[in-house]
Amino acid sequence: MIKLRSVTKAYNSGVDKTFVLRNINLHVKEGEFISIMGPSGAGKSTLLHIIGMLDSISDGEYHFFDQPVHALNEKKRAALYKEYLGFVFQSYHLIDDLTVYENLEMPLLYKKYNSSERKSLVCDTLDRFQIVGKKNLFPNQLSGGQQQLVGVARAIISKPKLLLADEPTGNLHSVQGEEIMQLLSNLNQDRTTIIQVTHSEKNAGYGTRILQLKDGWIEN
Amino acid sequence: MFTNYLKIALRNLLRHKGYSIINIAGLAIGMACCIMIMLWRQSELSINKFHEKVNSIYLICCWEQYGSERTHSPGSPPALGPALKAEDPRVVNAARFINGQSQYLLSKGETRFKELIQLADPGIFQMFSFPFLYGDPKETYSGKQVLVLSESMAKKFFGDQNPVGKTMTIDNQYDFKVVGVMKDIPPNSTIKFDVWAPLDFIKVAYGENFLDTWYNLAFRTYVELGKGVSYLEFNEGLKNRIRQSNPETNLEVYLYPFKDIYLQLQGKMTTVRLFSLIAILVLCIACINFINLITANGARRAREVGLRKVVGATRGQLIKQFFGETVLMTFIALILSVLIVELFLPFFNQITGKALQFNLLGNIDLAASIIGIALVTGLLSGSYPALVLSNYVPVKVLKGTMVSGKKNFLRRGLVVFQFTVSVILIISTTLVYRQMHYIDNKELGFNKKQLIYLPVEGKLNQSYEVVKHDLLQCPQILGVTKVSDSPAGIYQNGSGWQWDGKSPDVVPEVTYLHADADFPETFQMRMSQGKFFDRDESESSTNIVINQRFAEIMDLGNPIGKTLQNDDVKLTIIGVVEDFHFKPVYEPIGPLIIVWNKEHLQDRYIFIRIRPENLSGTLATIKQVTQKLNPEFPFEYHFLDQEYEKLYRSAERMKGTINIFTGLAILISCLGLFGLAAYTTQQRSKEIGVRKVLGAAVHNIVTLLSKEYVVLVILADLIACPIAYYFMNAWLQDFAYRIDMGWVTFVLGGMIALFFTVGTVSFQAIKAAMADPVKSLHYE
Repeated sequence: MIKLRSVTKAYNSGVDKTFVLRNINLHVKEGEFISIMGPSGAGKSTLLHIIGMLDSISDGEYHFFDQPVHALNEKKRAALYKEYLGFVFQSYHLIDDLTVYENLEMPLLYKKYNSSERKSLVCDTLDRFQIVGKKNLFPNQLSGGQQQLVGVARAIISKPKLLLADEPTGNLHSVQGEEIMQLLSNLNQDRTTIIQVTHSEKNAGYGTRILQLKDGWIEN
Repeated sequence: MFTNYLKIALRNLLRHKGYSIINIAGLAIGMACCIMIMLWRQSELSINKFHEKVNSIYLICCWEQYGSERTHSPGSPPALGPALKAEDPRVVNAARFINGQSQYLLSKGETRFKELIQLADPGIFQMFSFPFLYGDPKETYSGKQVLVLSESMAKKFFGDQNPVGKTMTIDNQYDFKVVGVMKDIPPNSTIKFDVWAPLDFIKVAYGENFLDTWYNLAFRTYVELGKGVSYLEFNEGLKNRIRQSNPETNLEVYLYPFKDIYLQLQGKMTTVRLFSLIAILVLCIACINFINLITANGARRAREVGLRKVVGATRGQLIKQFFGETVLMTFIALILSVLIVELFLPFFNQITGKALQFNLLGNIDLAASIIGIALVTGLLSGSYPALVLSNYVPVKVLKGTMVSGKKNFLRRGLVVFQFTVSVILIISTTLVYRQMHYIDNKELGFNKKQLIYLPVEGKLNQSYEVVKHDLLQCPQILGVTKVSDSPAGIYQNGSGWQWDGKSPDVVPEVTYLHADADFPETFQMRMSQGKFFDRDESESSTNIVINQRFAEIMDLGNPIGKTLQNDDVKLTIIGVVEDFHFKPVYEPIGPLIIVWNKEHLQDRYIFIRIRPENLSGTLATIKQVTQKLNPEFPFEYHFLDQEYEKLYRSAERMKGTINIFTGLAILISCLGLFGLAAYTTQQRSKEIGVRKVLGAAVHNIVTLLSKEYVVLVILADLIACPIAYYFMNAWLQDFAYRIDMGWVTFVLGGMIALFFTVGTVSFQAIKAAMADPVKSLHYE
């Protein structure tokens, strides 16, 4: 599904180049649940953003299914991630001015769904996550765990093949965190490929494979 | 999709009520200004355009040469119009108006009123569109004593009766037959009258040949050219037409298009442009508020943008969303502005002296342009936020590394622009105000207070000596004099005066005044040399008095006893009166000759100086004395100082209008600044908290927060001063007597802007500085 070959990411800082990622080689098959771990500043999030096509690479090749992402233009890349990708953030990033229902509906608005399709998809998802009763609440009326639940729900509503999660439990206490991890695990069993960034050994344990990142290198 | 945008937009509006109100109110005020100015502009541009033949009518104008000076006159000699019509087949019609209307006593049986009557050729009813309710405008009335009344004038005398065929009397002496009733002339006409009588009637007063001369410019002659005739071509042959019949004059003639008279010849286009510019600037200031507040708010919106991008929104979709939001806001503002216009139009009308009506359904042009304004405003003020916000890179935004609004040069630039405009307006208003004040209070050279004047009518002229004698018996009356003109404006003039030692280059255009011996005393003027006329001046006296200005032009040292000659007329100077204004003070004082001839029958006014006490008693006495000798005319009087107020009314109007717009510009700018200060203060609340914990006092914080804006406004002051100086200097050139601009106004204008800035910003700053630091720090 994902092939990274000699991927490098560097920033120009003054005269020098600062390397964030160096010579990353990575293969991900469909159905995997990968945890990226490593100390702060190791390049975990950057790697996740690159896989998620939010960031570009400086050197190397990135193939997503059969598409050479590194060679695609902005528009095609956007089309690609619109179709295949879902994102979950550490700080949820729900839109404050929209209700739970509307937050869930938003990704569908940018895809080709008509309003009845949107309605049934949102209702299914609300049902599945057991948050029907909260559909008319605004994010600030929910607890952190509930917000992240909505965050995950929003990420998978359009049935992405790949779910990217950037420390999804980072802002939650342990019970809430476990619930979210359990949820991701269930999603993975339903054939959604997941890549998460995490600091917690325990959370990494939910995955099928762990990637240790240090100073931009993958350690084996 | 659309409903989603709408929801977001509306919720955003409601959640941030304060900013929404600032934004929408500012915009609404700006748009209301625009709408009112547009109404006013529409009305100005429509002036005279209702005449069907407006494009083929021309006014005959003249250039006149006085020595090295060339003066323009919209007047023409009376013989010219008929001559052109007879000589040239390209001239379809020609008609003359006597310049100005004269007041006559108009009566129908016992009903009598003093009315202004316009004397003109009957041809005007064929050239101009003055539709008739009764009678036929095509009939020519030559040689007959006939009248045409306006609808309201007909009502005044005849009620609902048809007056055609009825007889009315002018000055208890001349019988006229009413031959037509026209609709009231609309307010957007420069030609206005309620009673018309044939121009020939003037021969009764001035003699049979009065309309056959080639030199008297007291007429306005309009010419209608045939279809397809170019007036420029016509003008080539016209230039010397007066000189052909009257070789002694140097008048040059040309046609001026009637449609351009009001805007171009009378210069109203400048005011239209000026006001349009001000309206646009006020709207710009409001748009800038909009842009600044939305971009300042960008940090908050950035997350939404990043997120929408992550879930698949394209830049185009986001741009559409933000445009949608601003357009929505502008339309809310538009509705509000329509209400504001409805509310304030009567007030605006009062200031501008117009009768503007706000009727969107009946005024499609206006409705379209208002919606246009809203769209343009929405797009204009939405463009920057839309383009900037939609350009955010989601990774940066969502990671939180994006700090918005730290060093935003564009925003600062816009604030500087706003305040530059505001300061220019403040300075200009102050200068306009000072100049008007200066004119209002300028020494006229006589005391205009407590002077009453009466028109000389009926038997007042013959019995003047008796009237004067009787009036002076009243202890409240200090002086009585009879003059040909009111010093508020004397427009009788001529040239050709010679004196010994005159340089050939000096060809003064001299104004003439006829006044009796008590003139200087009644007006409280001073003589600088010689004396004024004696009360028992002989009837054939050739003595004259000149003004100081004329004495300076003659440059003879002592002009007393010297002779002024014009053809056969020889006059002896017996005195020099100190200069006084006899035209509006915009114009410089020119040379003046005062003559006195006891038999003179064309004096128009009796001026009476009274004591301020017991005004009603004095007026009763004057009424009694004049009515006894002149019972056929109703008593009429005016106060001279009130006439002066009328004279400067249009300038007062301009002053009032500019005042309003200046106030609004400052208000909107401050609104924007208030919002902006609130945002930046909010953004820096953590910094403020830290500083307070580290020991900063309230005043340190206030200084910290206000400093940035103070610097911007000082910069705006520096930019505004030279611009304001340039424009106001140009404006002041129109006045012969003007104030010295000085530096105080400029400094003061800058200080006012600064004062409002500090007031606005420190309100926010103090609020932030007083807040408990724990709150802002705890939040993180």
